[in-house]
Amino acid sequence: MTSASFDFWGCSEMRESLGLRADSVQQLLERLETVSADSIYYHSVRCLLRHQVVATPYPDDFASWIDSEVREPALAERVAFHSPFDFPDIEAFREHLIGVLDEHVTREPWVGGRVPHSPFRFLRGHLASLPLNVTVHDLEELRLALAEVDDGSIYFHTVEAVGRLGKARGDFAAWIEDALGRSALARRVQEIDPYVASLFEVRAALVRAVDEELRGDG
Amino acid sequence: MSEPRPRLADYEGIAPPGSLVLIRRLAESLEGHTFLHVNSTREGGGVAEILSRLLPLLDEVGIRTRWEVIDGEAEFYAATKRIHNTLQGADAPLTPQMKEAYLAASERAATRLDLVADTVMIHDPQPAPLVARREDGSRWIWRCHIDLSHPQRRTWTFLAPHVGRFDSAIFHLAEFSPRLPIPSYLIHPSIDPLSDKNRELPPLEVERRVAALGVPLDRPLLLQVSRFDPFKDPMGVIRAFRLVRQHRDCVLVLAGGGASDDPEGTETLARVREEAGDDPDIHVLLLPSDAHLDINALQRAATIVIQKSLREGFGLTVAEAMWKGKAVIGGAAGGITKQLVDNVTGHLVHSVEGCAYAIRRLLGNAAERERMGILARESARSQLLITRHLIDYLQLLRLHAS
Repeated sequence: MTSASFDFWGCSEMRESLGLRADSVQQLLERLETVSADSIYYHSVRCLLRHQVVATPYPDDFASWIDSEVREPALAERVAFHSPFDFPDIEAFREHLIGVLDEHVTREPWVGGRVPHSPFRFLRGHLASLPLNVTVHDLEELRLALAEVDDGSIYFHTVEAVGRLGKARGDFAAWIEDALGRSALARRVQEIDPYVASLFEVRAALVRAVDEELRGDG
Repeated sequence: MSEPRPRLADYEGIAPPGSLVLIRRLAESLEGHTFLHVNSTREGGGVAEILSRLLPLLDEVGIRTRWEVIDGEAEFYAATKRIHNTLQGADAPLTPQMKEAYLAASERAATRLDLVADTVMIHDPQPAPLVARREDGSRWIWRCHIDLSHPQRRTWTFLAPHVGRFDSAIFHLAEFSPRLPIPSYLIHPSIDPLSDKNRELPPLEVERRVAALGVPLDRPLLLQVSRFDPFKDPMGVIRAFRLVRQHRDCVLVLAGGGASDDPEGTETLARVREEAGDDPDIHVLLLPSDAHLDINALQRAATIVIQKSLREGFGLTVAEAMWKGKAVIGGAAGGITKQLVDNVTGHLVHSVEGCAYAIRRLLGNAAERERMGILARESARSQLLITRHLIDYLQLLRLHAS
């Protein structure tokens, strides 16, 4: 990517079952101590790639399972609030997650052994990312491309850029600020939160922000 | 009349934005890759249906596909049916004679079939022993379309060594996957929006077909399309309908096919007809296996589509209804829970009363039905169409090639 242009990348994911399951919150806690970082990343970040049209009540798989299968909404809420984006790396997030579960089952021990409707199954994802040969040079071209690329591309540039590639900002915000010099729009784009929205909603919010900037009322 | 061969461009405006570009880009590095599929039938059944639609699309993007079919004598089919049933939990013995017939058919097929390809995908247990003939450098993948969560141990012990010789296995859901020494990938099945079962139909054709089936359209229409199988709970649907009828006038259609050569299906159908009795508003339709356009018309005419399964594989009838923009009520079982987001793209229910309540709620709220239908269609577009399946297969080939 040159400083003047933006190259869109797309991505798709193959999910792999690890053959590992947790039959209670206590077991989830124990499994989280040893399961691969890839799997924790999958269930807490990569799951956003599956929120294409509808954002589920909880953003991550752990909280969703605790709410719908264990029926412990208070714990689901505590698990859901923080994401790996709030921590320096996935290992720090793992420690946080274990701490939240441990504290809850210590305080309310009957929760730890409660039998869920169905077990939690650990997966991991294999992401293939590749350039789409879609290159834009200004805001008008960005607006057109945002409407045409696949959901994986929206995910890749807003979530994966920060989550896996460790960038401080999403790719769209970075390019709008660094290449186009539009700081206010960049801030607005950076505030679009993919953790609490579907990719459909993220795309719509991006398009709306660029449209308003183009009309001069951003 | 056979359906026209699909082309990728036909899906422009139907598949999600950008997905055709992604498909072509994913395929670029696989140009000339040879990809062989082996299953046990070229016609009939979900596997043959999806292969007949997917392989032309793979060909079009540069993957050189072939499709071979393993066959055998009556003993072979008796053995594979027993393997199929016991892998899904049935309690019946797999006799030494059956094992022998099963392995002998594979031996014969191995001498007859051309098994040379960069990647070989073996569908279901029938051709699994062919893996013994794999050549160096090729990748062999076992695509399992059935639920292996509770296999009969003796049958699984017999089959597992064959499965262990593949490079990887693929299951519809994590719940269906046993613990294996090879990677287990997950790929949902899909529907083809351009097939006769799912393509757009003019409203007049919908009305004509539904009328020809004897189903009135003067009141709200509730529909369940499925085999007459106790696990699809047709009796529960009738009981839910009767609870609803205490509050609202409506019509129920239970439509299914393929019972003629299935003793258990015939028995269930008889019980369903007995339960329906002489109620003129319950229509039990036994349709031929190629009645795709009639099913399409019924789904489009329905006010609400129900799939109140107690146990379910993936449940693609849910995807079919979602794609047609219908509000769907599904039993919270198997793949239905992966397709419907409860209260958003449909309702998940756990009982007859829950089903009846969801029907009453949706019948009384056209705005909710419409909102749910729109989200259901978009959700199906992004996750349940053949174009997503194509992306998954291309990604799988890239993963194995790397």
